[in-house]
Amino acid sequence: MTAARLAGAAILMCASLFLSLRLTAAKRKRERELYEICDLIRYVRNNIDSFLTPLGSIFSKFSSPALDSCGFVEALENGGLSSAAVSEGISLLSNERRLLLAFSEKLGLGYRDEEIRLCDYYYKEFSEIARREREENDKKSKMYKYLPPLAALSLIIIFI
Amino acid sequence: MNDIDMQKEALSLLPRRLASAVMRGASLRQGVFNEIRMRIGMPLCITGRGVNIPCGVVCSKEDVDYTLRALCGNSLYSHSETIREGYIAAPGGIRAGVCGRAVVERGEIVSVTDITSICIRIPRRIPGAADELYKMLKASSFRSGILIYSRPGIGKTTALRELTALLAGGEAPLRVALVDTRCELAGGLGGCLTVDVLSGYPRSQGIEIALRTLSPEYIICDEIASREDAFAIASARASGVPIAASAHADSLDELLSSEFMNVRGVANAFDVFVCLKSRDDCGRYETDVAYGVDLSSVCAQ
Repeated sequence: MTAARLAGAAILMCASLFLSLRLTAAKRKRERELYEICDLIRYVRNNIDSFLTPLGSIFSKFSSPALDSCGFVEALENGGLSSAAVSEGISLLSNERRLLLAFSEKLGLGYRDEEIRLCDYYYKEFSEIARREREENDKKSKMYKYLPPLAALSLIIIFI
Repeated sequence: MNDIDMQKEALSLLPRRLASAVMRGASLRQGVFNEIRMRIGMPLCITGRGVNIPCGVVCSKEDVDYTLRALCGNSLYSHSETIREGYIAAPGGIRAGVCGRAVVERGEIVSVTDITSICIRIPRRIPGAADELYKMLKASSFRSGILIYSRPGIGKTTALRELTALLAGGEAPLRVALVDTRCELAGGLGGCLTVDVLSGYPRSQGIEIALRTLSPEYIICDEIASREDAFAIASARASGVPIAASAHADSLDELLSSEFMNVRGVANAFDVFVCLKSRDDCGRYETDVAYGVDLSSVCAQ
């Protein structure tokens, strides 16, 4: 009986640690993705500003670790920014997806100066979202780390 | 790319309902068309074998915007320079003339907005179209310069394209530098191994760069129109490289009275002047040929 209780407590603790790690990783992944979307916008802007490179070529050359692993870059290469914005792997909220879609709808329709202004505007928007996300993550990181194990521990104390 | 591929490429630039209308219209001319014209609020029109055929569907602003985006690869900014000059060079040698509202500052067009008309021109390979021109050049061991002139739409570009293929093909291909300023001359020349294509270069700079860096045996360029072009051609000829070029004019008198023909040295650059008067269904031209025209009377400087 004691062995079963100990096993149950161990499982509970492991599950809570796993949950804690997943939660922290998910929040950090989202933060990285947001910053890499900012990098993408800056990359598009610089390519337009310096070389007037067509969007197809810009997207096909873009690479970034977090956006690569979630399938965003592949969707970007195959279907452009509009299909990347709705790709399932990326952890964007619905308002952020709408913002990215609005950017994709306007991108490529204007001359260089208009495009640069457009990129600057959306870069600022996404930078702000990413900054808020980082601040929130920094504030809550301890909570994400310790809350699930503590919850598990209290459950163990109460029931076992 | 063959003619069918070119047509497919051009149709892929249109919204589906317009592409279907073009196919229906083209079927009246055995499927042959080399121009598609779109104007907002007006019927779509195609041109095949010199005949304009309305296709029965009216083009909307959305249709024109869609085609414009497709022509630019969703990147209008990357074509801003050529739009200012009135055209967009799409992949595969397809060229579209565009017009809308020009924004002018200090007498110069700085941009074009509200595009209302698009004329898509599909390049065609017509093997044999330049055989006569090739024979003329061969007779002089490819040392003669040749100027092809006609009114628009007769086939100067096609003739130059075929001439390029002949010069750079066969048993003893020449090193040909093709100065393709408007990115339509090289369409369909994929198989020619000894052609260096200077795509998008301003004509005069393209000729100069070809001379300095590519050691060409023949230079080909399209639609000379300015004194800078004429200076570059004269300079190339003075360097010993013959040039084949084209120009807009309906007669030799008109050609000789154009501004660029007044540049010193152009008199010696061209040994043969060929007027393309018309072209039959098989691509054979009716021509007027003048050899060694005395231009001393028109050379002002």
